Amino acid sequence: MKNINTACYSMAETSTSTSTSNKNMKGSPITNLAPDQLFSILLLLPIDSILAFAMTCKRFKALACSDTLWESICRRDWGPSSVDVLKSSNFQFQQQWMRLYRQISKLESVSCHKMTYPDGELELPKPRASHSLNFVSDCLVLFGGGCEGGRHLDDTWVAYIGKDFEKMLKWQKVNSGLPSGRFGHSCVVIGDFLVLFGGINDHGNRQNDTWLGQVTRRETLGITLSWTLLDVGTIAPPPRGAHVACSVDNKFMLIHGGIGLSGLRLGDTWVLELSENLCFGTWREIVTCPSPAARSGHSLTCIGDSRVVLFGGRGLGYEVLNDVWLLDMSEDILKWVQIQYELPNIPGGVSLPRVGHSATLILGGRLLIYGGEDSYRHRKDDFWVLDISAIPSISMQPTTLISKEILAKMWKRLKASGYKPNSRSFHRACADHSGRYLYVFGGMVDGSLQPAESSGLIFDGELFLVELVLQL
Amino acid sequence: MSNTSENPKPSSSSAKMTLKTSDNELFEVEEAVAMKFCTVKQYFEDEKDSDVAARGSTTVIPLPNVHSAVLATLISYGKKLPQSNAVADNHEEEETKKKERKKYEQGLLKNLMPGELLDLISAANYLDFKEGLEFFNQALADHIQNKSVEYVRKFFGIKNDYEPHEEEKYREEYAWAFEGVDED
Repeated sequence: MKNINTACYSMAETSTSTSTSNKNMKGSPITNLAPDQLFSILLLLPIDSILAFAMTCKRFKALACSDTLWESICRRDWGPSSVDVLKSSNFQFQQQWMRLYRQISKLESVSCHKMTYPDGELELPKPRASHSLNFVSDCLVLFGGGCEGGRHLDDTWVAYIGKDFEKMLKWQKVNSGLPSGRFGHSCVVIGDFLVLFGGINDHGNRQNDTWLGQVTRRETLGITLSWTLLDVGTIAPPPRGAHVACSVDNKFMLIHGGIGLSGLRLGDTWVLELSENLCFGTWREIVTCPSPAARSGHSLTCIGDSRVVLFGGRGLGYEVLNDVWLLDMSEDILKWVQIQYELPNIPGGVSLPRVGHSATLILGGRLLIYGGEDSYRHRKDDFWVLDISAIPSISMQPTTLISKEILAKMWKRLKASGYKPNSRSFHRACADHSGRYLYVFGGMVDGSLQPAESSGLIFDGELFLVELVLQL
Repeated sequence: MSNTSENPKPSSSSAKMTLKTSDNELFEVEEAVAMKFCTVKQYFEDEKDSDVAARGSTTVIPLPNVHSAVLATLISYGKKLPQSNAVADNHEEEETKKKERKKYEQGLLKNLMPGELLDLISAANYLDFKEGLEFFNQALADHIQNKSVEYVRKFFGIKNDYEPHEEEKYREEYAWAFEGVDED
C-alpha cells in the first residue's frame, strides 16, 4: 500500500489542520500525536524502521527508545509469557528491554556448565539415550530410554528446579514399571501434563499408546508423578518409535514420521486433541502434499504462533537430511511448506545434515540445535541457531523464492565456552521457564581409547546446563 | 409524540444522525455507520436517557475536533465496512464485497497526502473509530516501513536536531538492527 503521493509535498504544507493542533506551524503534525498513538504505529513496524524513526530527531529518539515501548516489542516478538517470566524472575537486567532485545538478536555464544549433585549416596539415573526429558511444573522429568546392552528402561525421575536455574540438582526416582519400558518415544508438555506417545521396547515391539503424566508436589510426601493411560478411541497412529512430537498452543500434540512396524520409516503427520477434562483424546491424520519425506531421528518444535518447524533426520534411503519444513496450525487448510536454502551459502553449512540432534525453543523465538550425527556417523558437539522468524507468513506458495538476505540469517553457528561436553547423539534437551537455560541429559557418545563394547554403543549419563550468553 | 422513538434497535438502521464538524458543516449519517464511532455512540446513548432522544433524527452531535474533509473520509470508510446488522451473505457475495473494499481502500490511499493521513489518524482516535484507526495506522506504518532516516524526516517534516557526530554515533549503535536489511 505504498501509494501515497509524496512527490511534491511535505507534511507541514498539506495538513488540513484540525482544531486544537497546529496553530503554531513550527512543529509538524506528527508531534501532535500522543505518545501512545505513536507507540501503536511503531508496534506495526520491524525493528530497523523503529530505530530509523528514533534517528530522525532527539524527541523521537526518547520516544522510540522508551522502555515501555521495548517491553511491548519484546512481547510482540517473543510472546507475552517469555516477558512475564523475565519480569518475575531474579534476572538482573535492570529492566532495559531494548538492550535485552539487542543481546538476544545478536546471540553469539553459549556457555556450558556441569551439573553437580549434593553429597551423599544418591541414586542417579543410569546412562541412556532416546529417553524423554521435559520441564513441567517447575520440575525436570526423565523417563525411559535405552541403555547398555540395548535394554529398555521404564523408570521415571524427577528433579525440582523452581523458578530459577540451578547448577545443583537432586534426582528422585518416582516410578517404575508404568508406562512399560521403551525408548524412542516422544513426550511433550501440554499445560501441566506430560503427554507420552509410542516408542520401541527391547523386543523390538513398537507401541502407539498415549499416556498422561502429572507432577504433584506435597509438603510431606515430596514429589510424585502419576501416569495414566489416555483413552483415544479406535483411531490412533500406527505404532512407531524414533518419531517426533511437539505441543502446539498448549492444546494439541503433533507427531510426525518415525520407524514403524517392520522397520519402515514413516512420513505421516497426526494431531492429538485432548478433551477439556483431559480424559479423552482424539487423533486425526493431516494429509498434505507436498509434505516432509519419511524419516526418523529428526526434530519437531513449536516456535510459537501455532507454527512448528521440522528439521533433519534420516530418510528412507538411509541418507541424513538437512531440510527445514514449516507448518502453520492456525491456517484453515493445513499444509507443510519447505524452506529451501542452499548449504554452500551458509558458513560451515556442510555440517548441517544431522540425525539424533535436539532442537529446543529458546528466548527470542528461535531454535537451538545441538549435537546429533552427520552423514558419516560422526557425533557432533556444535550449537546452531535456526531463525525462522524472518520468514514471512506461510500463506505464500511453496515455490516462492525467499530473498538471499533472509536465508543468510536463517542459520548461525554459535561459539561454546565453559565446560566441554562430549559429542553426542540421541540425547535430550529441554529449556526452563525463561528460555535462557537448556538442560541436556544422556545420549550416545563416542568410545574412549579402550576397546568399544560389543554393541559399539556407549551411553552417557551426564546432565549439563547450556546458558545463552548475554553481555549485559 | 413522534413514533420513531418507539422503534427497536435493529429496524432503525434507516435512522439518521447529524454530526457537526469544527468548521460548522453538517453531515447526515446512517445510524449503523455513526455507531462505529464509539465517541458518537457514547454521546447518543447518554442523550437517549434524557428526553432529548424523543427528537430522534434531529439530534445534532458536535465534533469540535474534526474537520469536515476528514470526517467525510472517515464516514466513507465506515460505510464500506461490513455492517454488523447486515444479513449474512453467501460466500460469493462476501468475496465480491471483499474485493470491492480492497479496491476502494487502494484508491483512498493513493490520493492521500501525508498530512491528511495524520489528521485521519488523530480524528479516528478522537472518535474512537477502531477499524478506521487500525486501517490508517497500518497505512502509515506501511509507508515508512524499511525507509531511510532521511525519508522519514522528509515525510513527517521533522527537523534534524542532531549534531553530525551524534548522528554517526547512533547509526553505529543501532547498526545491529539493520543487519540483513536491503539498502534503500
